[in-house]
Amino acid sequence: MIEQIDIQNFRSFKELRLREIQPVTLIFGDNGSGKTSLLEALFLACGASPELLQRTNAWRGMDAKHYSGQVEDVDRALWGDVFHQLNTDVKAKISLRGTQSHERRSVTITYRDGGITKLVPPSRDQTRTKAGLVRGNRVRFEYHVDGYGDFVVEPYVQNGQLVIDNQFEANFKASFVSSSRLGFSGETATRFSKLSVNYDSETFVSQFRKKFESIKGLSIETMGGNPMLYASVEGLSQKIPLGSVSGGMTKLATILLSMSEHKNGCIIIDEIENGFYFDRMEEIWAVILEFSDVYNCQIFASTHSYECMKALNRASGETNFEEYTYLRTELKDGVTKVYRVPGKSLLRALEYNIEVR
Amino acid sequence: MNKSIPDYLKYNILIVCEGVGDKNFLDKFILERNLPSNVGITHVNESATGKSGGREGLGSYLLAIKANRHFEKNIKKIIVISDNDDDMVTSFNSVCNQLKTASLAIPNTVNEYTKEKDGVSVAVVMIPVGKNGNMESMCMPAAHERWGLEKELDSWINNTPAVNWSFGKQCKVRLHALISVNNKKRPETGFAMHWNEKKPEMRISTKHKCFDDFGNVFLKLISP
Repeated sequence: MIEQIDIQNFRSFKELRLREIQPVTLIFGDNGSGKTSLLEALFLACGASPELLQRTNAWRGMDAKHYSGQVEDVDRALWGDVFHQLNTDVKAKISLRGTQSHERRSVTITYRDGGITKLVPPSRDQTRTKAGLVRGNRVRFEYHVDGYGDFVVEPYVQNGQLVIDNQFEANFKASFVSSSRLGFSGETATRFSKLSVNYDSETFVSQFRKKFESIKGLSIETMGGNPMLYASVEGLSQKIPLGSVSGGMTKLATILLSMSEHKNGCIIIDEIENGFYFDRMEEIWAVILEFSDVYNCQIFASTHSYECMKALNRASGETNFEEYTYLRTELKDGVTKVYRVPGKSLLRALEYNIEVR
Repeated sequence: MNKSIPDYLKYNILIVCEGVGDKNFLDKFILERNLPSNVGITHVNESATGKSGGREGLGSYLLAIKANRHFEKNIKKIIVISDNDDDMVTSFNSVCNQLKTASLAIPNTVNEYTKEKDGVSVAVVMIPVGKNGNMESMCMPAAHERWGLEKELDSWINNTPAVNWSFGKQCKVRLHALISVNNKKRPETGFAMHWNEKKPEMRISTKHKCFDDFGNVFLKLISP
């Protein structure tokens, strides 16, 4: 379990240390105050591919494929905001400390200016374009994992695509569920298949049906060569993709399947309430907390919703609720400050309907 | 983004009292005596929780307020106002226990600020100053001066079950009766809402000398 997070010079974070992180962490704060950046930092340090940063940029409307122009300009546009105050002269670093050795890890991100584009002999050329021009790498992700060693990832853009030649394999099991996207259907299907192969899918389906009674069954079906999670729905003569039934159901399936795949790992959920009917939030939390226990999967979630906090309180019980980690992010002068709100205090505030976000 | 800031967290000094009547009295007291108005006043809102209000709710309520983001930014001093009731020492200690629940600094004595803890100093004011009683008993001299009826109320109390009640509780009965019999238009008005009365002649004056001891303590604590 991750117990400590240190962040330096990453996005809106200048310097941050969070200690005594609990199995459930809920983050809240204003738009642009750094909630998603905190989750990104965590995910990145878990060993996720730097592609995550481009994925979140794309969710924010800044897709790599839309950039054009000078190589240096594109690189700066792609990676510049990774660094605090866009200052690429100072490295960014994210470190985690946890109970297991592989949870003691860090990633250091550096950026090099100029002299990058160069011609090299074809035999050494691993990133060659058609013209024989090789793009060096301006951004560098250096991972260190206790008991494993060091690993370097140098992503670059080629023909409008982000290329990452070597993936970091000693990754801590972590999954990121974004606020606006429900994940790739193929990924969800693969996770369900893994459960099915291990005869675990029935438990999952049973849990899922408890929350959504109209769903009679879930299965993987391949349509047009594309495996997808399909649902048998009451009143329908034919199975249909779960995504066609409900965005909320798909989101919950994505979350639960991710947790079942990431046993002893963590799940990171941005704006957890998105897609869920407010009155269902308590049972959604209940099943997520149950999976968290069963799969020993740590939860990091952000929210804008007061209802969501109250639902977590009801789903978890007063004692557990008090013990979770609550973080409020605030942006001041371009720097994110993170305040820890004691569970006891938050609990009473919810009782008195006092604003806490 | 100050839209969501509660009025009571806008200033550096936060006054927390037991009930809405105390808060309404303080609002009027500050206004009529031209005291510095750079203070926020709130009270334990028992109806929100269904749990106990009054003094026993102070700790939970203070804990709740601390979760608001404006608390840490703005609040430097807290003044807790509570009743002495029948035993000044026991009541003061009870307030201190509530401060402990809220993880706030605990004063050794009344009417003095503590040293800062997490950037906040705390003072406890017990009313009436230096004697047993409550907000109602503090108001009684002004109420009788305004409306008389002292002997009539003595006689009435002596013929009701309240004759065996404590002085503080008897004062609650007496004040309620006084306010009621002098408000033909709205005899159901209680002490808590009395301070909202718009016509001054229908209201107990907060300028009465019976409030001076409290006023002196209060002014000392809220002065810059």
